[in-house]
Amino acid sequence: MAPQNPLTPAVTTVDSAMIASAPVQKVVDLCRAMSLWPMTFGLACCAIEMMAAGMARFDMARFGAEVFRPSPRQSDLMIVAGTVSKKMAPAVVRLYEQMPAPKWVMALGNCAISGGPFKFKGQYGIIEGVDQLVPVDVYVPGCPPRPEGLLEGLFQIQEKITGRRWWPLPEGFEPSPAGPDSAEVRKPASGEPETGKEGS
Amino acid sequence: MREDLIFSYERENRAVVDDHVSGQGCSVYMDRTRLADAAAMMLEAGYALDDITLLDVSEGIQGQYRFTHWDKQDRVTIRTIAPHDEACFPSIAGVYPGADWHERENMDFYPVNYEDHPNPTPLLLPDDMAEEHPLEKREKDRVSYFDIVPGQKFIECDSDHMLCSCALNLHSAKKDEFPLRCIPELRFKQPDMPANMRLEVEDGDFYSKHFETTYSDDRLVLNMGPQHPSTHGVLRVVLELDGEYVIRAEPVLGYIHRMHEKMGEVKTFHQYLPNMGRVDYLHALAWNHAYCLAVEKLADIEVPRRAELIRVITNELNRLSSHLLWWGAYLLDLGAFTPIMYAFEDRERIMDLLQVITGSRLTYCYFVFGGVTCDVPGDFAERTRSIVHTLRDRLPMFTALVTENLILRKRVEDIGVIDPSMCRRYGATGPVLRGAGVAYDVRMNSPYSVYDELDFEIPVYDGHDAMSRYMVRMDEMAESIKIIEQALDLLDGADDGHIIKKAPNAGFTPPSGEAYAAVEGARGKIGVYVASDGGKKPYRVKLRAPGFSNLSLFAECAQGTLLADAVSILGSLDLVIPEIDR
Repeated sequence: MAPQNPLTPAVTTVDSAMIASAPVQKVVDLCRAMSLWPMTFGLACCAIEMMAAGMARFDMARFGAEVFRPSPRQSDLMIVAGTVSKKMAPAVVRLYEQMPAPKWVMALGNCAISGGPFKFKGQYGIIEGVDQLVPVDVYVPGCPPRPEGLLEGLFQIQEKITGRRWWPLPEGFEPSPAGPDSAEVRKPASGEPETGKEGS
Repeated sequence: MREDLIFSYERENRAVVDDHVSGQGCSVYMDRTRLADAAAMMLEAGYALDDITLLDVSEGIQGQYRFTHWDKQDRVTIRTIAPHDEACFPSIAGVYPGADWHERENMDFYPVNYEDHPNPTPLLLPDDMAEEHPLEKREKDRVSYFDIVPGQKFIECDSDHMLCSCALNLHSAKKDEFPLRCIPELRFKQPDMPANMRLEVEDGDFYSKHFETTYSDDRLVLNMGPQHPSTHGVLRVVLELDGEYVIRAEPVLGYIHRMHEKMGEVKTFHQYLPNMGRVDYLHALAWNHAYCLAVEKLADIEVPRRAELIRVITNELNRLSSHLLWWGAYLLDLGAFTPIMYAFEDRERIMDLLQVITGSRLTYCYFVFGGVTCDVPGDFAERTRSIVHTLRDRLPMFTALVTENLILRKRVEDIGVIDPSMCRRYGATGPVLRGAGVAYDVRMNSPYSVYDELDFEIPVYDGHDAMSRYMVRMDEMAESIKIIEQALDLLDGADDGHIIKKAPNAGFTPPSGEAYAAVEGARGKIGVYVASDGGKKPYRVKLRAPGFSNLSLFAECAQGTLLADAVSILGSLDLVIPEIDR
């Protein structure tokens, strides 16, 4: 079998902010979180649920993320919606590298997380988890995840950018324990180079 | 001795009819040197190529060429075997251009060659996997062909049968005149694809025929995809443009190849069921149906009437949701954003309903061998009626809003001419074929399930263009509603359970044999071929995806059109890329 990951994972750097002031950064982060521009990047089944999330019923526009851009150069959120095959992998890395920083990645569905149902002994065609290629911020499980799942993933990214959750939890859900995680989960302050997970 | 037997079949051109046994129609065994002649004969007799399946058995690699006739309800399988040490078949891509992709796919998966293949490059696998053949069986895993198809099951056909007589009349001296060149390296020695232009380019503009060609230096090679919104996934089309005109369009597949056929061989019959929801996620239940029909044929399982009706109802609901999504997405490609909002409104209603009975929104795994996993709830009929009534009331609005819109009509009328002859050569089915004026629908022509009891029509448009294909799908929605309502009426009277008693459980092992089942999916004819050697796992699963054949004619269809029209043609084919790549 071919090596699992024949590719160099994506590398990206974030320039330091011109005005390195905490209140300014806070405002900028808030603006970023509330106007994420996802890339139209449907790979397989999950892409249909991604479309459903953008349509009238689930209406991602309520949370500021409805501007699906077909070009990576205009988007800052990559929703990897589907199975990444070995043939597709170089294109995924290329697309990620073309996105302007700061940028976030959501692995939508089991295929993007780990290969999902297509991971079996002797498989020859897929990458078992997109985090081998690009750094992933939020994993949304499901096969495919419901549009509500995608929205929750979006909330998590907003929480990661701004440091707090903006939307009420559904009934019957406990807030995630605010522990040492919450500080770590935050995006590293601008200025630090961020590398692919494979390197660390 | 058995090996001699299969070659003696070929020498005698033995034809057998086993439609009732395996659904494959008439099988003709012939020597592979005669294949090209036989293919030419089949084309002349009006047969369309369904698919080319390879079966790796201990005698050699058997090629199965399946042909269908649109009017005669006749299915013919030509079988020919090549020994492992000289696995080589003559290419029939010169006769059926649609065979080009089937043969390339087979070269990816098996260590075989096709002599005189016009373009023997990998199709689904990446280029660096050219030496690997994932579906090749290990020596110890191979079984004899007669372990799968017991010799005594053959029923000789009478010599009046069309193909039988054709086969017997074929000139048997050919073998010595044209010996096959079986060079294993043949495949990789041929020049690389992009350098030589495979399609013959005609000068002139498709529309006016007054178009001055520029120097070839000015031609622009444009990669559309693999990330492009109008390819509906990860299809890549290499376009060679002269100004705004497409000189050459070459789809590149394999970006979402998910190894479904390989998984068929490593999972048990039951474990493979969820895969069917993921081959074509827009019409998942049609794939469920095709696989279940094939295995039920293999194991001779009767399905209760109630289960058949539930299958038909859910299948048609799924077809509605698939066509709605196509409608929205196609108009999105053409630049209209609003219709997809309307389409999803109805689609969500249908998905809510299907979710109640199947348990998932998109990738259904609802049909099992012998029936369906659970019965429908009490208010199902009422809810379904109200949903389809709402949709029926909205269809005229769709017509008024979109279909009669001049802007749309300018984008689809007389664009993408696909005539019946092209459909036959490439094996196109479904709305593409019906938009070419041919009334072929598996539900009508070779009825399965309870479709023969229901009263519905097959919409056919004779325009050969994207508008015809559009209209076929719009009318099919109305027909699906008709089918659902009739089946709901019948459902009240059918109370023999949603699944047979003593239904096959997870450890189910069907007897050895082979079966082929075809159903009509939203995109065309879906075929599933299952071969079993009596083990827990299928010996071979072949999936015949309609989109694969429909897309293969794109290169010929898009040649000479405007770039913007190529997008319109792609959309009118209704592509689901994971189904094409499998």
